[in-house]
Amino acid sequence: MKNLKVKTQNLVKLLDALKDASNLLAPQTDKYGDTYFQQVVDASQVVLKHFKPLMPAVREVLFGQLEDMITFKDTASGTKIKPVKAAKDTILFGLPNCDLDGILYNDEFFAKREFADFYYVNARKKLTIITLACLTPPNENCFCASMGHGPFAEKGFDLQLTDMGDGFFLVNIGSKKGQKIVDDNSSLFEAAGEADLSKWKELKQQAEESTTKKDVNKKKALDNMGRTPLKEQMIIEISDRCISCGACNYTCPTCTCFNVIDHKKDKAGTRKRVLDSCILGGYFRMAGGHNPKEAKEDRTRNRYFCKLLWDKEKLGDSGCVGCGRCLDACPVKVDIKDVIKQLSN
Amino acid sequence: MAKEKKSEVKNVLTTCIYCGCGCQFYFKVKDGKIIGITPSQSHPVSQGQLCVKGWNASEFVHHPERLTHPLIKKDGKFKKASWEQALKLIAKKFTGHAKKSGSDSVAFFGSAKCTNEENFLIMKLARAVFKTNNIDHCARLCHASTVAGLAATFGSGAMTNSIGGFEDCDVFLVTGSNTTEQHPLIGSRIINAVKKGATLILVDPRAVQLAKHAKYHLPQNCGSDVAWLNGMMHVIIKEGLEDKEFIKNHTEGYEELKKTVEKYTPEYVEKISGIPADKLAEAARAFAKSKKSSIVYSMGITQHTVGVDNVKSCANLSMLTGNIGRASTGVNPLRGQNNVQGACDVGALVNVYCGYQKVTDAAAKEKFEKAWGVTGISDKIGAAVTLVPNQALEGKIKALYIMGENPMVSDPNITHVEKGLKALDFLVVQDIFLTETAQLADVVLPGTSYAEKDGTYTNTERRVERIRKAIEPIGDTRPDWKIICDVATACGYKMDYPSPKEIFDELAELAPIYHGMDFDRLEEKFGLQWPCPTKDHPGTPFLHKDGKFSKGKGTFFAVEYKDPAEMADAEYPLTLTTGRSYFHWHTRTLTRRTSSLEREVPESYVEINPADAKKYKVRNGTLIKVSSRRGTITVRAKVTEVPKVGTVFIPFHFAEGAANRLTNDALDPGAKIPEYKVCAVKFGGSK
Ligand code: SF4
Ligand code: SF4
Ligand code: SF4
Repeated sequence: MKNLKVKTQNLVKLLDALKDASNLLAPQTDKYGDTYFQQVVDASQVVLKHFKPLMPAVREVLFGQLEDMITFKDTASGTKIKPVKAAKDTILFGLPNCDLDGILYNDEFFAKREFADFYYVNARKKLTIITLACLTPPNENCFCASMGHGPFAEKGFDLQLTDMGDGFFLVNIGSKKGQKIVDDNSSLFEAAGEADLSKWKELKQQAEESTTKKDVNKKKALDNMGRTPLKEQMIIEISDRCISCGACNYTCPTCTCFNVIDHKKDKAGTRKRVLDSCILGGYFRMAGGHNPKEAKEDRTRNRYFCKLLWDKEKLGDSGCVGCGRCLDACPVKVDIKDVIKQLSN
Repeated sequence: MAKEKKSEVKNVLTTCIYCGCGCQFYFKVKDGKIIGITPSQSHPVSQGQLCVKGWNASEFVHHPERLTHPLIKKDGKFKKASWEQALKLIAKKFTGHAKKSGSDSVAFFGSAKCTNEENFLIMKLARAVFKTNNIDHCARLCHASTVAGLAATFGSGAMTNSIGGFEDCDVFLVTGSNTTEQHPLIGSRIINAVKKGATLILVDPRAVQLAKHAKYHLPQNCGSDVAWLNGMMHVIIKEGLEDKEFIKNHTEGYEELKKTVEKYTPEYVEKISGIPADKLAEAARAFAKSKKSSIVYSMGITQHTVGVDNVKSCANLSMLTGNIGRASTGVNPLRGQNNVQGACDVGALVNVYCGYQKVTDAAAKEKFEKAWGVTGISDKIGAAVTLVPNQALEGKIKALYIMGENPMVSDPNITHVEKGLKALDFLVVQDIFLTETAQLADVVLPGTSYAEKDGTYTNTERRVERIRKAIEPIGDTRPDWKIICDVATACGYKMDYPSPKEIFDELAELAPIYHGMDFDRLEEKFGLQWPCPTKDHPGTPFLHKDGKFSKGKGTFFAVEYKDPAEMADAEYPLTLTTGRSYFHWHTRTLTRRTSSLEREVPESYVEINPADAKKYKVRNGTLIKVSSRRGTITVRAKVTEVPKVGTVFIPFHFAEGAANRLTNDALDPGAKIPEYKVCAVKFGGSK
């Protein structure tokens, strides 16, 4: 890994250049005080402090909430099908590592298995990822380091930036795409020295400490998950509070379930996919009306089994990257950490 | 500059169209289509959260069944028409009837789903152009008794406190509100407060989700509310737990109340309500002893022939214990629709102009005549939504204009409503889908959805909030405010505004409670809570501060218990109560076209207690007939512990298996609200 650094004002210049060359999405704060990924029109508006959006970055261009897939029309000579417009080159700037690892998880799920997902793969090829390492947890619900996911990225990024606090950002180059950005804008970058690197390592260690929750022991929790079932009482307590809003699925960077629907009138229509949620009874109900998970407790349990056991069996690691979004977006403050903590004993 | 043309992705902050919580979220728009929803993290209600309806509030917008052009019915069939043709026909019919049979032969329904500006204009259309007060909307069906009851007791017919204060309450009395399903982001706050140590008293015939969090769940017999509320007050007075200072300084009518509740001993009340006497007394003590007790109610209180009495009793209890005029206390009727509060505020009601100025008041009449440049506005109270079918059948009302309502599913005793609508000479329906009601219309006008227009909604805590246009109108649709302008102009009264901003300015000019608001101020924060009388007024998080009631002193109304209009008997042995499901909204026009919501509850059902299922030999999951004196429907049986023995529940969303074929259209004599919450039914066909 070659290391460079970039002055803050040069970073703004870089963003300015990138916004013209591609579709650049970066966190910006609107006049109501909300911050989220927006198309960059004015590079000086981009938030350069580490930040965790409520909606994970994977929802921006790779796997959204409501997407058109094809349009169709029944004609005398059969059904005519048209796929929707192809994805465009996009740069995501300023995502935290939990979001990057979420995307890497989605890569495994959508792109690297027996059937690759056409829409995902297309958009993914055209995506460039520039992460911004979290120096401190963006909010109190983060526990990524406990789950082995950062907060500094090890792999999967094109560029990673770290705010060194002295008017410079350290730049890690993670791929050819990243290298190309640097080469194309070489005048904006300068070499990073040994001193920079050791300071960076120090920041990294501090950041890891600050995003570690002491009572969360991932290894123990995952091992226990396979052996001892979740405590019944805890699941019932969660389920009694849960108002089935679906947010813990909608905002999770590693939730991959969707439903396919047709919007049809007469003989023509659009096929869409809609982000789905396993807290909803209809998600499980079978055609004849039987529901193997009729009780909400069973659906509540499902999510924890999915994140903490089945993902590991399927893809080799837990699906929970410790971003805390399911708690951020939960109206009744259900905390997956409570479940993991219980399993950590 | 950019070489290639960029995909246009924008985020537009707007207000949820479903319930009265008034959450705000961003539409994510790409190439003119909404592709996602993200809750606002800074908004005081949403705080980065939404319920399942909010998360899914955009799918219907692009549904291909959207109405895209006007329709005129010829020989029983709809034909595509131009706006010009449709407007001309409407003008001819409405002005014709008004001229021939008088102003009150035409009537208008506003809509709690439409904006403040649109409801303001339709009431202006009725009053200024047609000189009739036949303007009403579905608030008649949900909180007419609140508006009347709280105006009489406190002087202001709205929720007294704010959503933000809920998490700090010590004791909640929730009654007739399935809060987690109907006002989910208020329900969640109650659950969070209980987790932090608050006490929840739930009085509800059904074991709804909140029952799991309630220290006292007291399932009452449907319609016995005055009795158990009087019972609680009896205990409080008998044990000296009333707030004597507050009563002395801020109220009137206490002695009479005291005399009336005297006979409502918990034991006497138990016979009427079925609530165990000792439990009721314990709950009463808990409510009276806490510093911050809040009453939260909804349609379980209002939708009765004694709706106004119920509301007054809630107000009595709060004044008796001094739980009003402070943060985290109060009487909190939760308004159902996104803008039912607003539609009332702007005067889409038979008896008031915007800002609750009475049509019978000569000064108000003069004020509005002057503002609108007309003379001869009517000072006679108009025909309420619930009276229109009868007046149509009697030939009094000839032409009806419905903006965004669907009485063919939402109103009681639909069979009768249908007869009424069919008896009209001319029916206009303005909506975004061809609803059950629109199918009966002579002219259908296509409005835009909330994603295609600007305006304001007022949520249940009186917060006036913006909705913002995110996409262009679909097809040849027009925003509802524009359509009303076009209709008024076609009828000979030039109505023309560049945008909803100017309509709001006129509204604020005329309504004292909105006087200090304008679009620029609403833009600064996440809206303002009325009353907001001046430009520098910060808005009002809770009403009646320090016991200074809007009307001066708060009035106790001594109320006696009365039986519901129809009670279970030998022939119809079960009590039916109706309500909503979490996943649907009202007449399902929007939610049936939202896949994740429709999939949850795809058909109507009847909840039956296992004991009743056994008694009447009903199997879970089978289709059964349920009958009342007014009709018979076929619905799927859902055997569950949720309803109490002897009571069954049917959600009213469905046109097939419609609960409102069964409900009773008996009305509260004052508020004219129907008794949706109690009628007598039996299993099996009616004849
Ligand atoms: S389960 Fe929760 S904490 Fe874990 S990755 Fe998903 S949203 Fe983040
Ligand atoms: S976010 Fe919370 S309330 Fe919503 S479905 Fe998940 S656990 Fe339930
Ligand atoms: S709680 Fe009400 S306003 Fe909020 S998202 Fe749900 S339906 Fe919409």
